Amino acid sequence: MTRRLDMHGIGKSFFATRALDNVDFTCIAGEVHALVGLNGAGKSTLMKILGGVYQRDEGEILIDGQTVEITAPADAGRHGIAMIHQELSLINELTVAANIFLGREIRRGRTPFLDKAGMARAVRAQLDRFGLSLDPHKPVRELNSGEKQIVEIIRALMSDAWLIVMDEPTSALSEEDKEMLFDFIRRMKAEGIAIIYISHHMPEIFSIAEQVTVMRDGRIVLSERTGETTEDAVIKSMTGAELDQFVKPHKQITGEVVLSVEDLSSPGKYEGVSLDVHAGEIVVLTGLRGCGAPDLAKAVFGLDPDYTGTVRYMGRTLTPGRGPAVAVRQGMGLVTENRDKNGILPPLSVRDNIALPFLEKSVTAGLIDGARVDGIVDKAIRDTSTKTASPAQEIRFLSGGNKQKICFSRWLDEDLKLLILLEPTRGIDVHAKADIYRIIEDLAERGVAILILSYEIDEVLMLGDRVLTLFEGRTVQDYSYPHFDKDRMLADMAGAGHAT
Amino acid sequence: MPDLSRVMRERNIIFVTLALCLVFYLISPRFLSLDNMSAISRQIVPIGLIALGQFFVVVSGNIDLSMGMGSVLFAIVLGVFFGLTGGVALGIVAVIVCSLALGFFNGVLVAKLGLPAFIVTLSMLFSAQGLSGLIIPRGQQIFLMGDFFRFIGAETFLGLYWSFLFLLALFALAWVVYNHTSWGAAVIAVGNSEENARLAGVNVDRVKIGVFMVSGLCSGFAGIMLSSRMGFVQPGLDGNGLLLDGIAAIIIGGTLILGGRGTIGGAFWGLLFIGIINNALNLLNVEDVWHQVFKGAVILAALGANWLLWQSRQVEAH
Repeated sequence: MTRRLDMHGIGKSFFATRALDNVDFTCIAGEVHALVGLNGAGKSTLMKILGGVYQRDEGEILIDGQTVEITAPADAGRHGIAMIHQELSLINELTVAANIFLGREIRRGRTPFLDKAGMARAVRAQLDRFGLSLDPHKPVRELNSGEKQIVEIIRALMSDAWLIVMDEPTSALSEEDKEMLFDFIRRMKAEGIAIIYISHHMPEIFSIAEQVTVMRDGRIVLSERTGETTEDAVIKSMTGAELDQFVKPHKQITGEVVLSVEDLSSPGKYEGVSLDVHAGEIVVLTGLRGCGAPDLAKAVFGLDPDYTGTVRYMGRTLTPGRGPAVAVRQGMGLVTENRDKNGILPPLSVRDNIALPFLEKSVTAGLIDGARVDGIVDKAIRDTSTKTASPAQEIRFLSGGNKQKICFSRWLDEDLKLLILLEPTRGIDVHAKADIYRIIEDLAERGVAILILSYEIDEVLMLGDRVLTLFEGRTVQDYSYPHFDKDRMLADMAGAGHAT
Repeated sequence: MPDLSRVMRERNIIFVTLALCLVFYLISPRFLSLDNMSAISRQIVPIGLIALGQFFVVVSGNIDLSMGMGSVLFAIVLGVFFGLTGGVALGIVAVIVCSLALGFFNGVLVAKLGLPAFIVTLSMLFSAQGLSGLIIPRGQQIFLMGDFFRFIGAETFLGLYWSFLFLLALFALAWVVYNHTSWGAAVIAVGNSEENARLAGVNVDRVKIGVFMVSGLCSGFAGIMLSSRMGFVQPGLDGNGLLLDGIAAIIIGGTLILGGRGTIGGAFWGLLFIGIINNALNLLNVEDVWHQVFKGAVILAALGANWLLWQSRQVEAH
């Protein structure tokens, strides 16, 4: 019998927000079902309900026609549903076999000793079954990300999973690894495994998926056999028929060129990218995760020693990899994509977090001029409308949006000439987003050149004076306001027209 | 982050240790005499027990600072029982029970209450120190005499001290447990990522309590060995010196201080390294005050050179 999953009439609300509305979703063993949608369309909410992370408000889940209750991740596992996340959950220091059997090791008879040979044999048998070759005795830390993903899937398969959910599995993979993964997926299909494949990558979807479902605003807007639809139709339904009207005032860009990037390449990251950013201009780089744009932005900030091509800043050619300390002295600022990891210093106060880049400039007679720093800090908090009990508050207690504003406020001094923003509104609420957009527009108004990386198309369209779409490290298209075309941009990002 | 264990994985610790032997031999040929070798083997026993227990705790991502003063306390427990009964059997049972209890207590506070191991075991260190002084006032001591202590402290078998053979047996046991049981894999997994280990079905709390009970028991054994060799117990014994030597041994042996990685073999070589330095500096009649300075200098020179060498090789490999 062919196994199947049916989700019927699934509904879910978070407070007043309707995240999912009457969603039907079916997945059949031996098929790949691609799930597509912009950020916030409801894909991950749906998958979290399937995985037992969230509870649905309405609807039912059936496996092989039987109603099942999935109220915890362990329930999903018991029903043979496995989630393969982008952040892999392997133990680097253990071998492939030890990872696969962690928590349910095979022992030698009744002794407490591990049957390492037996476990390796079992792993090898599974790998053979799917035409893969990996040494079961190799430590996981020596594997690349494609191989790690395979280990994680094999682990799921060996605990009797029949339905695998993969969340943008190729975003961190090299071409070679992608091929390996696709082969693996094809073999899994042949072995009767069902796969839900979350991706925006059109060529991938059309090459391995049987069914594609598009979500928008918590609803299913398209669900077709891949043979009976087109990349265009899928992209159109992602964005919706009604084109948003932009009220962005037309800006005359008259400032001098602050940043000029020419034919920049770094092996495996980006290739032959050129762009200019003028004073007061907002240039947005966009693409899918793995498009190389963050690496490019970081190279400008002096974090990549290995690029070829030239980066000119204020008329001077920059040395590759000169480091952030030099970049900051030259008047550049960077807001990183992961504020908790690379942005804030969690145990320090709001004041100390804001003041960090200004300290060197606030020194009189060898000592830090506390009053001056306080002045800068108070102004920064006001200018960004950051909500904090006091500047002495520890920053880790602030909300995501307020932390992000502080990451911004570090750079608001008058010496700033170029600000690089990586995913400036990632994981923050609507109100904070509006404040952040206002800060960005104010800075541009003041004549700061701004280079943004964003994966959210609406944000790209709203902020950009100029938009560059990237696919696999190469520029696809260079758009100038007001000649923006949302559908074409999405098609560029998704690599439509490229063969995988 | 800089990663000492990768340096050590290159088996350089073996060469560094042998080179150190050569240097000491050239300074004083007596260093390599059979008598001295055998003296080293006896001196390293308490440090080795501390290192072994600490190894599992550190690989699991924790630390047990109470091991040194704990072993002094357990030596005193043994001494008190010896004083009361004139025998050792009851005393040894008491040490084993007390040391497992201390480890269990540490482990429960860390695992169940989520307190940092550093804080829990640091306060245990002070408590053990205080208790030792409470049982035997400072300046006083209990002498330990009799067959058992002579046997542990001085008897040999095929030229090797029984205490050293006991240590070797425990290292062998630890090697088997670490490399060939699911508990060993679980300790590594917890040290790498508690969350991932938990998701894979590992009982993280039990692993944490387990490693602290192992380190507790090892400090109990260290207390027995220490007191037998000295022939007396008193609260002024340098437990913290023992603790630091034990930690140094496993770190020199390539255990990652942040947890998740290490080898038993490496820990053993690290132990020899520490033991050789301690012995040679005594043998060369280095004044006590300079002893520690030289020890620090040798560790820095040997490991620093090793580290830089490794780094330059990494750059070439790129």
